Amino acid sequence: MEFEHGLLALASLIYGGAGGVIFVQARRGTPPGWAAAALVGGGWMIHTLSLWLRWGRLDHGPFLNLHELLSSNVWSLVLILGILFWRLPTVRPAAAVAAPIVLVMIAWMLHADPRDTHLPPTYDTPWLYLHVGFGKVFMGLTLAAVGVSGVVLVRWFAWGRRRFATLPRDEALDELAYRCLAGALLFDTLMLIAGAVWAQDAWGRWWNWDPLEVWTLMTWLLLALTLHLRPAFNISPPVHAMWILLIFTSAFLTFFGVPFFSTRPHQGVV
Amino acid sequence: MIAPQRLWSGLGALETTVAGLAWLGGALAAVAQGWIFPTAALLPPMGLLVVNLAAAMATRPGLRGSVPLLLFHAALLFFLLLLGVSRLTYFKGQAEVTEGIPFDGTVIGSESGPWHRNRLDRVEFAQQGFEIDYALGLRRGEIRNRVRWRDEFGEAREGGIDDDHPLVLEGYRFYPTANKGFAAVLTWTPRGGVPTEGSVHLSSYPSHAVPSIDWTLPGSDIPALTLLRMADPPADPERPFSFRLPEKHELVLTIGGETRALRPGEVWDRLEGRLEYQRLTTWMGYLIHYDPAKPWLIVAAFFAVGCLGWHFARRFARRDWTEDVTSPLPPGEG
Ligand code: HEM
Repeated sequence: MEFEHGLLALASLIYGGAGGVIFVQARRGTPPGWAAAALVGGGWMIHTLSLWLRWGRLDHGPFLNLHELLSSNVWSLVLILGILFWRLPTVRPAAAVAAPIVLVMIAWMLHADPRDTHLPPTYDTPWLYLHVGFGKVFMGLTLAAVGVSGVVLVRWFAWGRRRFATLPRDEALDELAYRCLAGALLFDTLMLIAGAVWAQDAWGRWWNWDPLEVWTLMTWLLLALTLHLRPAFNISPPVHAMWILLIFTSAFLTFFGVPFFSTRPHQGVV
Repeated sequence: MIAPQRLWSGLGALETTVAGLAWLGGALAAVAQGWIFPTAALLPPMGLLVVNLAAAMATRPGLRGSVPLLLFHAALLFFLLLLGVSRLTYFKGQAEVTEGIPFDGTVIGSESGPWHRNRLDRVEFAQQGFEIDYALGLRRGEIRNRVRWRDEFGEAREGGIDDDHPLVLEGYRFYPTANKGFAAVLTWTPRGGVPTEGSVHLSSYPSHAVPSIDWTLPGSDIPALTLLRMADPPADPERPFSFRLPEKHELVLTIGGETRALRPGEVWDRLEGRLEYQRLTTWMGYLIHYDPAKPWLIVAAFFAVGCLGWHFARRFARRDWTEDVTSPLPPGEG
């Protein structure tokens, strides 16, 4: 157990270093290079090992308390953003916009109680793994949209324009953010479906208006609304970026805020 | 007067969609705060969205131009209508069933849609006992619940259900729950009357360390407080254990200010009648769920996701991800 926590602390330290390199390079107006990539990759592998050890020891996935939720989400966010920025070199400097969010989550994770969790009987179903998996892809794509469209917002300011001058123009970033959002909508919908099937099996109802369900639906509605705002009102890239930020905030509060005040991901149903 | 054509396209406008979605979001926030009952809050904006969707599918070129997008919105419309069917016909309730005594359709607490025709009296099943293992700290494991029932062909059947696998009869899904405990089987014979046998369900165990119940003697308004005193309680927070009947126990009854402890087979003769404690057994609390729209909702939801994926794949394939998307747009595209 100590070893597993030690690995997590080490991974966090390396992620912190990667964040530092990404910020320094953004200040200089250069995209993150091999040093940042090596640190992110190395940190992620150590993080994977730590999660794997915990999973093996507890015999269930890391999604029961706040510590596990944060740790597994940091892991999946780093993976999804890593793939995105690796595949799309022209937008790589946008990593500096997404990284602070991940770093805050890491700091929060280090503060959350890492106590062992027990898998309730109703959680032992493949639908739960699908639900969690789809949710992670949804969150990753939403953060990617925030990173890319966040550049548009940062470029409102002179210092931002200087630092992110090499990135494509706003309309192109907006289109890329829109694509991430489209993927996010698909996975958000899949997450809701898998969650409903699981809830039906586990608790005899597919929907119960618990706080997590209500706020997840709210996020889904915000996504639907934003996708229609573009054709309906022809919104500009900065306005679109603000809507994306709102969606992310809603998703973030749903994922980590609701369990924070109700102690279990799905309260009262275990 | 507005011409029907204009009204129809106004209802189908994207501005109406945005307004409908925003209204739905606001209603949802009110539901989240517990200010308003979900159906009452959500029905009006959902109704508007249904009309909006139907009108948009008939009039909007943006929708009609893409087959997958049109199919997606059609699936969404179908889904919303199915939600309506679900609300009108659903049933949700709880029942407590004593081991060995057939379920007679009695529920404690239920809600249902106005079009629901209750067929619970046609359901035939009996509770045959259950096993539950607890880990350290009273952490419950899976419920393995045995039931005997009559299937749709009238055949007697026997089998097991658990947390995730309900017994499905007449479309009703019966799920065993953590709400279960001990039941005392008693016979009450009022003076000069005929005996009635019945069971009283003591409060859920092990969530109540001393299970008890307030009830009234049948055919009277005489209150009877009953609690179970166990010499060897099965539950122990300090170690793992399995749910079982206590070997040594007494049923402590307080009737009309007088208290007696009875063992199985013992009798309490009173002025009003005679109470015989037969035996201790168990009861299981079931959650009952009925929703005929459910399979169709799932089909509509998966179909909608498929169409949405198809639409996006087609739309995004027109321009390459790695190069075109991040370079300036050609005029007239987006
Ligand atoms: C309920 C009433 C709705 C109506 C009347 C409606 C109508 C429309 C229309 C007319 C378009 C075509 C836009 C254009 O002109 O290019 C559209 C696009 C779209 N709608 Fe809806 N919609 C509704 C609800 C939803 C919902 C709940 C979702 C799910 C999140 C959704 C997702 C989409 C998507 C993803 C697009 C494609 C946008 C694009 O490719 O740019 N719609 N909708």
